[in-house]
Amino acid sequence: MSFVEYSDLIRDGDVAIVYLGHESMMHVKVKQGAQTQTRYGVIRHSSDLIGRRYGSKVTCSKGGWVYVLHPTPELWTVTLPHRTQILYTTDIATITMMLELKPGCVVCESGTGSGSLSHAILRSVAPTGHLHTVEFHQQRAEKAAEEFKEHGVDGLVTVRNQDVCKDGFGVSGVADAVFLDIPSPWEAVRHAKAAMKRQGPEDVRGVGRGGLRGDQHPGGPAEGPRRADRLPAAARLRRRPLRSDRRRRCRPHRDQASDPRRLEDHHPAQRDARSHGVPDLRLQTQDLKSSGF
Amino acid sequence: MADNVDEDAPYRIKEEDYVVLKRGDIFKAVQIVPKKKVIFEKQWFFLDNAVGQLYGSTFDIVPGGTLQPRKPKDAESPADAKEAGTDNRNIQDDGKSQKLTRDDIENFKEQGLTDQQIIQQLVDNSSTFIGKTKYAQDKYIKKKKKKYENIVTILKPSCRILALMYHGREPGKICHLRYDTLAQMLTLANIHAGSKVLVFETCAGLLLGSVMERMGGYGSVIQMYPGGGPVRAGVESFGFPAHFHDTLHEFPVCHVNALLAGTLDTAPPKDASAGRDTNSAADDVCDPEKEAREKQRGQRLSFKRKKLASAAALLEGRNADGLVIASRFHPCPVLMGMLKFLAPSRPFVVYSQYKEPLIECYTKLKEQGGAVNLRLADTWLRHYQVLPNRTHPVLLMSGGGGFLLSGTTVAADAPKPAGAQRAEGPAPKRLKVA
Repeated sequence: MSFVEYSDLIRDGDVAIVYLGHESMMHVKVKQGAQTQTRYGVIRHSSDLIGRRYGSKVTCSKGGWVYVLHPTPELWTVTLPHRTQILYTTDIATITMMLELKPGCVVCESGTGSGSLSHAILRSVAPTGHLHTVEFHQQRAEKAAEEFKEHGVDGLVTVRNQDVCKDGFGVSGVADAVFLDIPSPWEAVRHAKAAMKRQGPEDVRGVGRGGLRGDQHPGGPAEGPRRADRLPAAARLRRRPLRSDRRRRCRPHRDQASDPRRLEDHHPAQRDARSHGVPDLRLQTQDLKSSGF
Repeated sequence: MADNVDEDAPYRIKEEDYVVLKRGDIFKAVQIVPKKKVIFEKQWFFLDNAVGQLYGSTFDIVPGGTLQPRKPKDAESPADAKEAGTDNRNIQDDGKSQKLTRDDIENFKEQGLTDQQIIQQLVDNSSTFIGKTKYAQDKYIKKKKKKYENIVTILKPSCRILALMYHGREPGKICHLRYDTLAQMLTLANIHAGSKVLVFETCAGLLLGSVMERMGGYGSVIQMYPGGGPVRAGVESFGFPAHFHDTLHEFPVCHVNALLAGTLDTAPPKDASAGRDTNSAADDVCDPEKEAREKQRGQRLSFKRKKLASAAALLEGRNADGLVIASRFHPCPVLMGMLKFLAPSRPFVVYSQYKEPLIECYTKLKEQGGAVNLRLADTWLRHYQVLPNRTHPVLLMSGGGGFLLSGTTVAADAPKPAGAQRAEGPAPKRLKVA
């Protein structure tokens, strides 16, 4: 399994995505002999997962069933463990197009955060590109490096634990694209310039491109996981472990269209971006399913 | 010095390259052909002087139609940092503030003054310019520049630039697919190098080219086309290297049902060649030309058959990695047919300018099963003007970007497992025998 290449069968050591129902998924590290608890019962990795095809229906011990999906950056974005506020697929898609990412690009990114955008970039620049990502928080940098290794992409990425505003990206003159998502992105602009290619990538325009994303006012609160009340509703929901849900709610049959969980159906892709110096795109999605269709 | 030039070589414009001309927000895709006149924004010029320059360079169009590289350093605008007013209470809009007449300006143009000089003249001869606020002065100069500046920038084509161009120039050709919606499609369908992607589009090749760009020449793309042949005009404008086209296949949609049923016949027909043989035996004396034409036709047909067979072979495995649909046709039958070619746990995305056809697709998919994570969404795009003290949204583009239906395939349903009883009603009552 790799996040940048499809495979057919689930193997020991893979990361798979278990689909439990609408907007309810979780990631699972497949391990010989391990078990995963879900609200429908136990999934025994050795018998239910290893050797099965991705996309199959897996019956759990209590009789319910789930689907097991091949991991993609989009599925990872909605199931990854948050260490920071992350970017969601809607913004990631626009960023990927605006930075003109394609196989072979070299990209510099800071901050890594929880790795949501990083995985998407890796998918777009594989197999010949590279991602240089900088994270100033040591544990987050280590966790990100660990995840990249687990997901089979560590050859395509270099994680550096340093402050991009002081020490830059650690490379110079190689980047086709630079992305900044830090509290004070203007402080890193000169490092971004140093990291960019002099003439631009071999098949694009004259100057390397940069995307700035500033989510805070100058001098705003310190970097770190946002306060829970500022998280979008769906992210808040994800932080609760599923086990406690089982006791609290009596679930109706999954095939019914209405589902009490989906009342808070605001799509997390709504971002409140106030950036400087770059045309800003405010994106909203309307989920028609939430109208009880 | 020589090394420097070599390093830059991939970033320099070459003859026969496909490029995009840009002025302000207007784009146009052209090919660099020596001594060929190009029209862009009501101006005629030749692109010969652009060859050898770096991509992204800006050029002046001098009278006569040649391009001249523009020095980037002269950024200081006329009347910079001079006097300015505080508000517009004393400014009368009577049309008499500009002392120069139209004839005067025509004379300037004929004399060959540069656009900077003409603008400077206009500023000097405007009685109200000094009374305007700094921001109003900037706005005035910007307006004049738009009128008198003859510049064009030459860019290397990419998905982003071509999507912006098509959306601005000919949205009808691409089913009003807005560029951010295109971006969503490419990401939701997980288009990446090494996969096998099915594309069905009537967007002048823009979507197909974008998919090919994201795949970087690795993997394969199978274009399903309605009608007689695939339309790929847009793909040329991307300027892909030749080997990218080796990954591109095509398959006609009219044969999809036959392929699914296993009845598609791609073997060469036997009697046609037999017929030719007897014919030629009789006529070979008088018509060698006709024979040659027939032979060519036969070769073309067998070439087409081979391509059909190779595309069919790729599809038959039913292990495609992604499906993208964006066309003016109703997506339902296309989607239902093509989903069968996808492996389980693979994403698909359908675009439509209106949401009603997608609602139908959604319902059908829910009934039939085989897809999870179904999501029908649209995105809004808002542009911002970013200037010091003047940053604000410009306009809201809403409802104009089309809708997307996305989902992930799963293995087709096996007969319902025992676990389903959990939610069925109480067991039906046993009938009492009277």
